[in-house]
Amino acid sequence: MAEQQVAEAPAEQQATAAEWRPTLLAYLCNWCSYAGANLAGASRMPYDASIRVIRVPCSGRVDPLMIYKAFERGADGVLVGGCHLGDCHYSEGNYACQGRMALVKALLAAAGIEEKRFRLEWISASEGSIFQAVVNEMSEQLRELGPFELK
Amino acid sequence: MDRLKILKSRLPDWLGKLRAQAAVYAPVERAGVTCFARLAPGDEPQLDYGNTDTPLKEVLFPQTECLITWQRTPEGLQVQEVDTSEPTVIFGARPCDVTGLRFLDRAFRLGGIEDPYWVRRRDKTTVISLVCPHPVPGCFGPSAGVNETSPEGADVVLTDIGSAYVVEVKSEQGQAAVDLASDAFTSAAEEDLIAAREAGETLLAELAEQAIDLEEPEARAKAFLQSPAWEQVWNRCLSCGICAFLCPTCHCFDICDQSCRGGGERIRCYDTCSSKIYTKQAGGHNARPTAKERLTQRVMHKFSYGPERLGVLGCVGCGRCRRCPVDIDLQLELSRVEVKEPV
Amino acid sequence: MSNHTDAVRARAKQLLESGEVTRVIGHARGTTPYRSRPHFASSPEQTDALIHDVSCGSNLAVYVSKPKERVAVIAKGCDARSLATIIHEGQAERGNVLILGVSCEGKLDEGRLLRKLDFPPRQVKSVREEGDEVVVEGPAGDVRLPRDDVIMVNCTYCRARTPAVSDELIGEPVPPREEADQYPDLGGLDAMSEAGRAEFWRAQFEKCIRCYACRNACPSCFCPECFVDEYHPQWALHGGGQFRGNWMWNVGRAQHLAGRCSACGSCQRGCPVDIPLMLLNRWMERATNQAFDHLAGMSEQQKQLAALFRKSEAKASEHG
Repeated sequence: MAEQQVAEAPAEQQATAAEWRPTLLAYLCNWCSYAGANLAGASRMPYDASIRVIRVPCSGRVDPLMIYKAFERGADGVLVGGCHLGDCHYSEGNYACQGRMALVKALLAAAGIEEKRFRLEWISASEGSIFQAVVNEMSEQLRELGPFELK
Repeated sequence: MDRLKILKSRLPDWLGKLRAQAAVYAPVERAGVTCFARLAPGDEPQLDYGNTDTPLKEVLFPQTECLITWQRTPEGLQVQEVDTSEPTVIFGARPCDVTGLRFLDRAFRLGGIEDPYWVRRRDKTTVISLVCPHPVPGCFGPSAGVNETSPEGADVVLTDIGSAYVVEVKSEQGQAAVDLASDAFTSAAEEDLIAAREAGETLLAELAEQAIDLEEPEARAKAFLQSPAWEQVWNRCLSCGICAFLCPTCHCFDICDQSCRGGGERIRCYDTCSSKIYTKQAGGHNARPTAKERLTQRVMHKFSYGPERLGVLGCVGCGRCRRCPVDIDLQLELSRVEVKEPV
Repeated sequence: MSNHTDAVRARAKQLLESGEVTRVIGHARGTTPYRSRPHFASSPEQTDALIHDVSCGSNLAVYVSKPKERVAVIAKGCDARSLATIIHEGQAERGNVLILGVSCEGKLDEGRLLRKLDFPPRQVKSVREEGDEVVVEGPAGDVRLPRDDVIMVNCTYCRARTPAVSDELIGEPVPPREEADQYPDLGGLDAMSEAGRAEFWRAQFEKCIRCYACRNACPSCFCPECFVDEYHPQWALHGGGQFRGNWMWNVGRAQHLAGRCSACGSCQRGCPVDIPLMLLNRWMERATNQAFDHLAGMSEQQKQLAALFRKSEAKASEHG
């Protein structure tokens, strides 16, 4: 019996190792999306643990290079979250972000990076459930796509 | 030494034997560019090439190489030296590139101080040179002192005579490389040697059409920097790195640490004196703020400091720097300069 | 027919003699008949070396960097687009740049030209344009080649064969090519799968030796410190020959040129390892053209692309 238990343990570990977890890097604006993430947490809404959050003052602060660098350093997906259009704490930062991210999407397509690896979302401080849904959906999509690697 | 020859049809046998003993680097085409790359089993070298687009030096002095790696662990910092040197055969290198190794050999051992990363690769390397069947456009090797038919620094030299190569063994290392597949070689007949000599003579005659005058390089360099042409040249220089990175003798490098998550690596990579940040100091001062000072350095290093300190010209006439996007051809400019007799 | 040498020389001489400008930036004959080189004339005598023919491809706007006195630039359509862009971006006072426009039907691509010849390059005696042909004088007489076969590929879809922004024009106006808005050059990339594109660029970027000729030949790359030269943060791993750093550099460069590229092709012409950089630039031009109705340097009143990202601008992205 004891031997069997010992023999089973590695098999279990193998199963966990096989269940690969993607790395989803999220740049969240301080005023809306980060607060939305906070609300999701405070409300005990479970969301996928693949997310790694970097708080930025505004989605307009997200330099496209920060997205490319994330991919270059091994992120499997990148999420940018900001306030809804019209709600920016700095009035127009998210418009700048929107325009810039359109270019990022075009360039990622040219470089052959799957569309679903990058997403721009407007998530307000009261939208904890939307944050949860976005993270879960994107993590699931990344699992389907598999690891991203620039070898 | 008795001259040998090898039929082209037997070349794969020899390459196979070499590959069993060493990493074999030979010219191959990669996405439209010819360069020296390691032959994998089944790879055919591309031997009917003019010259590689990137120089041979990258085999022994890679564009980027890792020197050490480190990792922070609970037991402390683990530092590991990286040594990827291994027995290597360079196959099919042009005489100019081979001659370029001579400059690097001296530069990397200057004053008795050895560059360990160069030396450990170089000492394990056998160079098999292949004489050009036709002059490469832009080549002026003989003007730069290159022996186009039996280059200094080669261990074996091959000359194309149609269906076979005539083989000249120039060193013990070369003999060992030939001995690996001794049954693939036969003694060269008198007519083969004549064919090889004629091929060399034809080549040299054709190359003479492309010759330029680089006698007295130091005086030329100084005269050029005083000439009216000079102002136009430095004014149009874009300060990119093409001439340095494609040059078989340029050897400046940068060393930097790149770390991530408690670990990292120390790399060294090519650097170039034409780059704006090459002489930029901490604090912002730049000793060579414009292309004028930077290009002066290039001219002087190639044609004055090189001959003075290493005894050889910093140019082997390969003509690769003629890829300059703004048509700066220092050698040609120098050759046109009027050198005044010392008073 | 675009040999404007005589007109360029005459006008340059006039400008320098009258003191209207202190310098004329143009081209002179290079080391071979199919090459030109940038040339700077500061005195009337120095204008004698000026030429303007089918070989004068390199973008001269790269030499205009905050001039303190008035300079004249012999500008093809693409040079003029670049000048308009960098003037708008504060790199030169409009009053300090005299844009001497020249009409252009495409400039030579040295590689394409030499591959068409069956004799060594040194035997080329002269190159000229006749109608829609480029005529190369070789050892056995003239070789006639269709112009479109030997000019830069980006010239075959030029939208600025007559400079859109200029102070004067040398030569007859030439209409833009119809292909410009159809992006035939992107057909290959469009047809590829995502994995195919990734594979394509991997093979291309692996070659990159990080000489930064693409950057330095580009008038729009004027940053005093480029992102790749920064150490903190280190955006791209240093050194050529390694894919990750090369990828970061090439992608970052394309991003920074989005909406600012004049399609002159100087980056690709400069590249010593033949990376088709214009594919990325044109891809981004199509994206900005379609999403924001923006083309760099096509008028003096034009706003910068980034200004169009504002709420106050009517046509915002539909791709956000």
